[in-house]
Formats: sequence, structure tokens, C-alpha cells
Amino acid sequence: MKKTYLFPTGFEKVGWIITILSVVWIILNGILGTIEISMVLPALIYGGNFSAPSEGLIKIGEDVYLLGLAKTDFNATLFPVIFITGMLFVGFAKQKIEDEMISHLRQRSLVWSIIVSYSFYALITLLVYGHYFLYAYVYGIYLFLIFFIIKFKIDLFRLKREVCKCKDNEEINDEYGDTDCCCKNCDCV
Amino acid sequence: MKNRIRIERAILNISQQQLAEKVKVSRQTINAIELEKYVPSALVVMKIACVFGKSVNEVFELEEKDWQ
Repeated sequence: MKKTYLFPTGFEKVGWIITILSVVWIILNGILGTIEISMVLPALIYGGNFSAPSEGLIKIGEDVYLLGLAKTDFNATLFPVIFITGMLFVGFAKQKIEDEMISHLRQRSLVWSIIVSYSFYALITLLVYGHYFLYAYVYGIYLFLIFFIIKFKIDLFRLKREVCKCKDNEEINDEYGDTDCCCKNCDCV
Repeated sequence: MKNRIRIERAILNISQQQLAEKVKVSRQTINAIELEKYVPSALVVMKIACVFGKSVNEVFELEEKDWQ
């Protein structure tokens, strides 16, 4: 059996809900100013000037600890995980019929989005300086998935649009060589 | 790659949807193959030929540009 590494079909709907809620959260933050929700989360490694409620279990350097608790903010820690999870579900859930044509479109979209997003990274490395560079780099993490989802969904839409909805068997009445879809006696959408 | 899928469907009196169900691909895929917008894998090519009861060469034909 071929292993596709894709999520089950139902994950796409869940992904859309998470992604839309995340976008709403981004817009709210934009309108109302950054909404801070402080939290304490387990940390594998932290150090430097990072504020922590207690020292970690293992000290591995000057102010650097392994396995402890870190004070953080929802926007900095949980939000990116939630947003990325939503987009992964949208982009990488199986379609109802996940055949080779869909895999081909998925692969093409992946190649396209890798090229475009890394070109963006190259451009900002060359052209952006100061703290804007850091912003662009951090937010650029989402670009690959955003580009991929947009490209893949547009390609899927185009593919589906090309097919007419025909009534049973009417399409076979078409003349041979008529490459303009299927329709003479059928309802196109 | 040229193909005779439309003719063979007419002979068997089956729609794109019915062929898609037999080959276990989507109707969009059959449509794209039929319109020569997509070159299918060897597996799908053999399945389509099998559904029509023909050899692969009777349903699909290589073109000059396929060799380039």
C-alpha cells in the first residue's frame, strides 16, 4: 500500500476552521493592538535574558537551562503552532478522491511555493535591514504554507471547472475530436 | 500522448464518471487524460486499457513530441 503521509479527508474542514479563527485573531491584534495573554509553558531549553519563573533542572551554561518552565505569551508560542497546524491540515488533508492527478497538482504546487517563498527569503535578506528584517523573517515562516495552499486550491478549482456536469451518458454523443469539454446535450457549469 | 478514450467510451457506452469509478480515479482525471492535458502513469494507462478490453497500444499512441 502506498503511504502518502497525508491527513485524513475530514482534517481539511478542521484546518479551515483553525486557519480562519487564526486569521481573525491576527486581524483583532491588528485593530486592537497586540493582545497579550501570558502563560507558563514547559521548556526544553531556555536561557539568556529569557524570563523564567524558576531555574531549569539542568544548567548547561551561563544562564542556559534544560527542562524547566518558561514564561511566554500566547502570540509568541501557541499561536504560531495553532496557525501552522491549521494550514497543514488544509494543505495536506487527502482530497475525496486522492488520485495521481491530484498528487501531480500537489507536487507542482509544492515546487512552486518552495521556489517563491525562498526567493522571498533571498530578497528580504538582500533588501531589508534592521528590525524589519527580523519581522520579515519570522512572519516569512508562514509564507510557504500560504503560497502552497493558494496555488494548490487554484489548480484544483481550475481542474474541477474544466469538467462539465453531464446527465447520464449524454457526453458519449459528442463527436470525436471535440476537445471543448463534453457538452452538446448536457448541462455545463 | 494521443488516446482513443472518447471513442472507446462510446463503444462501451460508458460516461467519464463510470470509467473513473472503474479505474478508481476522479472524473476530473479522466477528463484531463481524454483532453490530453495530463499524461497518466503506466498503472492508470494499463487499467484504462483493461477496462476497454484492449491492449495499451490500441488505446494510447505516442506522438513525436513525447520523444523529445
